[in-house]
Amino acid sequence: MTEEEPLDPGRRIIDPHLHFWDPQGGGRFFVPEAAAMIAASGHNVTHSVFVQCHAMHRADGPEELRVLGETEFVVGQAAMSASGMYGPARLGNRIVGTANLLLGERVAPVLEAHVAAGGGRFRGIRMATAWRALGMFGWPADPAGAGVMARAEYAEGARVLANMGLSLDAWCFHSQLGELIALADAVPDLSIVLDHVGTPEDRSDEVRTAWAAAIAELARRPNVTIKLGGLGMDHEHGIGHASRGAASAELAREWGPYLETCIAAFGPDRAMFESNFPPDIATASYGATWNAFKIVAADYSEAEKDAMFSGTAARVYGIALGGEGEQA
Amino acid sequence: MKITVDRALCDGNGNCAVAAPELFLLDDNDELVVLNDSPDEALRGKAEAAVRACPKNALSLGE
Repeated sequence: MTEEEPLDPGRRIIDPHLHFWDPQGGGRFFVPEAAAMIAASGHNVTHSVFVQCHAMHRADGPEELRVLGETEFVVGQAAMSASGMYGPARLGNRIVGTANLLLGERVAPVLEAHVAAGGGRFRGIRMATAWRALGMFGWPADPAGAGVMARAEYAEGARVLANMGLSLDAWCFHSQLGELIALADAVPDLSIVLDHVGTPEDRSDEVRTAWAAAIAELARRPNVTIKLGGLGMDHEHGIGHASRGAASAELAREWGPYLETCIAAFGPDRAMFESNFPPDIATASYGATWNAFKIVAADYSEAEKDAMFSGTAARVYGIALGGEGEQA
Repeated sequence: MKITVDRALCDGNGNCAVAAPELFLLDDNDELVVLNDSPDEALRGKAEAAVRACPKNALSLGE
């Protein structure tokens, strides 16, 4: 895929949502591949946050601890990146792993093990909660996934997260945002990050109206921040399809109303652009994706752009910027 | 039913025009145009949906 020339190439970007994985049929995407992709884009990505994607879970051992394998894997990836051998960006600098919040209070030892394995990089979890009756990524819906965020055990597990100062990345469809609003009220001291603008299921007027109302309501909870992106992935089909190769101007027109609605509701200090790569390569290259965000952000002030491209992510995930050894 | 827009808050995001195209329009400069600020009761549901869909809380409904 040919890359676009980067817009505003000097602006610091923290990509708060980048995976490393080796899925069946999807193609290996580790630090060397990610670093080469970022270098080819020409954008000034200084850090990334790894977000869970069921990578390298342990094959053996107690079920609830198998998720530790992902944090162990990313600590190694982050060490590769921190060596400088693959370029200036510090990838996997912070880690969002996973744990089963339905364990309730019994999730505490799992989280403690993540923190210990993370070597200072572990910041929180995401638990797979995106659910719709139609299924996604070509797989049928698991009936057990319906309403999971509304279960009492889930809130109990979320309280453990909050008490440990860890965050919860939530990915759900717009039809599930009511559950997330209730969770934000039930655990008001939990830092919740809504991934992928709350994924409107389609681009119809009916869905946009319902989605926008839920976003406006969720934004009234001060403990919630939002990731601006994830609109390019293809949840209808499997991962690994060819990219549509869309140009940034087209993406900015298509995504702008959704992204701007979120920025209006949450404000730049509670909003962060995210690549959601590799899944979003289904629509466009990494460089075109960031160019689209820069077109959408063009009318905001410098301080607001700084917040949305790096500052909010740095605050939410605890990345120190601007000092000696910031990239450690 | 009377629709009021707080122009100081309106950002021109256009969710109201998507929710209730009978009542709202974004012009070519992304400025909100209220097509009908005193609609019939039949449009109350759509007007309420437009109010809820505004990320800036710029719309309100009165009697």
